[in-house]
Amino acid sequence: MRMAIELSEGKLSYRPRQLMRGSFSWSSLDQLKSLELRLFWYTQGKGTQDVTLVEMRRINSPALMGRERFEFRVPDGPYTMHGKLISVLWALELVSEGPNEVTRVDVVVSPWGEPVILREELHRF
Amino acid sequence: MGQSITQTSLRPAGTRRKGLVGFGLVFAAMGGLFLVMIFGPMALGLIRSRHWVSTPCVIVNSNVEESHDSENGSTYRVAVRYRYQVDDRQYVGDRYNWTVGYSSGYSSKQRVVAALPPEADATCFVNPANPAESVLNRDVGWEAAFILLPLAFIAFGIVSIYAGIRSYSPAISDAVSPGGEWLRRKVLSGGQAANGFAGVWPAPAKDRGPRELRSSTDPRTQLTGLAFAAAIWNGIVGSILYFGGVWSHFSDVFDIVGAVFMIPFVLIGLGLIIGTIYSLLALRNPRPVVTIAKSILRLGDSVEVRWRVEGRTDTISMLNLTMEGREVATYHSGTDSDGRANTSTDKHVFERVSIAHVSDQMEIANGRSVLHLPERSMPSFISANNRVEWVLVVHGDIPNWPDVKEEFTLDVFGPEAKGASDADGH
Repeated sequence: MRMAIELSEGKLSYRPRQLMRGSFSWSSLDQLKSLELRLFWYTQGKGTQDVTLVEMRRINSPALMGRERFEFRVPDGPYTMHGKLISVLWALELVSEGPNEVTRVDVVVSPWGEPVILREELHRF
Repeated sequence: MGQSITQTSLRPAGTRRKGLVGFGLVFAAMGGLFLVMIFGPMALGLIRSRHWVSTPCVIVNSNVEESHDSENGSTYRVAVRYRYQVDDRQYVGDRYNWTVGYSSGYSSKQRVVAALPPEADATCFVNPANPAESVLNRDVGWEAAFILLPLAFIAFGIVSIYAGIRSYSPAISDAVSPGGEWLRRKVLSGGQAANGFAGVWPAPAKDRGPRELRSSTDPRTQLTGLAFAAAIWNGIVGSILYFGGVWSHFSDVFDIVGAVFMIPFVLIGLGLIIGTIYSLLALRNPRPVVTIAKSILRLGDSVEVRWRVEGRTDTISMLNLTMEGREVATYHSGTDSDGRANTSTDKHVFERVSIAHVSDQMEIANGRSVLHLPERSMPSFISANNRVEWVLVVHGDIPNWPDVKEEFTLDVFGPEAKGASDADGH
């Protein structure tokens, strides 16, 4: 079983409202029940984890091998961030049902092209 | 082989937290049920017998009746029979007072029985409408003090319902990952799949202009709530202490172990009293009103902030206005004795932007400044258990008196995103 996610031009960082384009491919000796490509964000850190699925593309009874293009519109937020208590992280995940397999690609959502780093207390005057 | 392709977009959704309301309803209902079942008959009897006719009677017999079960051990009641005469007709009554059922404390009941020997003269109270109905003692027993217990349940329930209605939190929806391995694994290992976060994205399309911020909490409400809680709590604890202490010489209920056990309850009661006094003093505090020049705040914005302080502004020696960025994480921290999950919340201030720091009396009473929001930071973000919030803190220092402290949570949005047409991935 092989699964892969490829993002156009190898791009791993997206601004809010930007289009995320790419393709996903698979090949399997066994018939799969379904394949799902998901764009989601989740939290990590001290707080109980929250997970939100933002976009999903599902293929029921896929062929033994194939490649599909996808296009997701990145929402306004939340931005990828790393804080002292909380981190917000984004990922694309390809999940198969039949044999259950997962492959994922971590991406960044931020207007500045990189995660927001919340530092220790800052004082601005 | 046929294959179908579907694409789904899942968008944020929010809902009111119903847990607190449900919890409060259960508590209030339990208190109400307890009140009606235990104290209802007692109260009804006391009210009805107020106008019953006092009638001479003679004690037939009396004894302390015991009931025993494995959970509560032995409990007791005064069992008495007495005879009296109304309109040349003899009646026999067997109601000592309006207390329902059995209770602990053998010695106290034994003293009552000792005062009611066979053939002793006594006075009972007879229902003139139905002379067969009578009671020997229509006074309120000390057990009536325990009426505070169901009242406390009802009060706690009402407070929970009120807090539930006022609170707002984002939805934790059903799992949104049908068959999903990673999400399923995370959900099973303690994470929560939340279909959405509260509406901090996107920003409203149009700025509605200046926005006035004033505390939504009436200090009198806070004072009333604290005073009520202090009265109920200390009423219960005081009753237990008082009656336990008074009856200790003929009851084994209250001993040194009980006294030590009561210490934390007494300390909580003292804390509530101190809180009430603090709130009472703070009642006279001046109250700040802040006006932000824009209704939509974005990172990188510079916004005019005006303030005025209503009330005795001359008491404030120093006024600080600060914008704080905070991370707030809620997590499970073990379980309580009933196996329910406890949650704790941690906060961390990652950014503190000073807006004003004034000591001049004129400026304290009425002033203006500019809030410079940082350009690169995290906008407001709310999910089920985690959030980033921006809070405008007004702190007025009053020497030898409770300080003025108000907090206003503001939605701060990210920089305006470019339109969809020029924002694709190429």
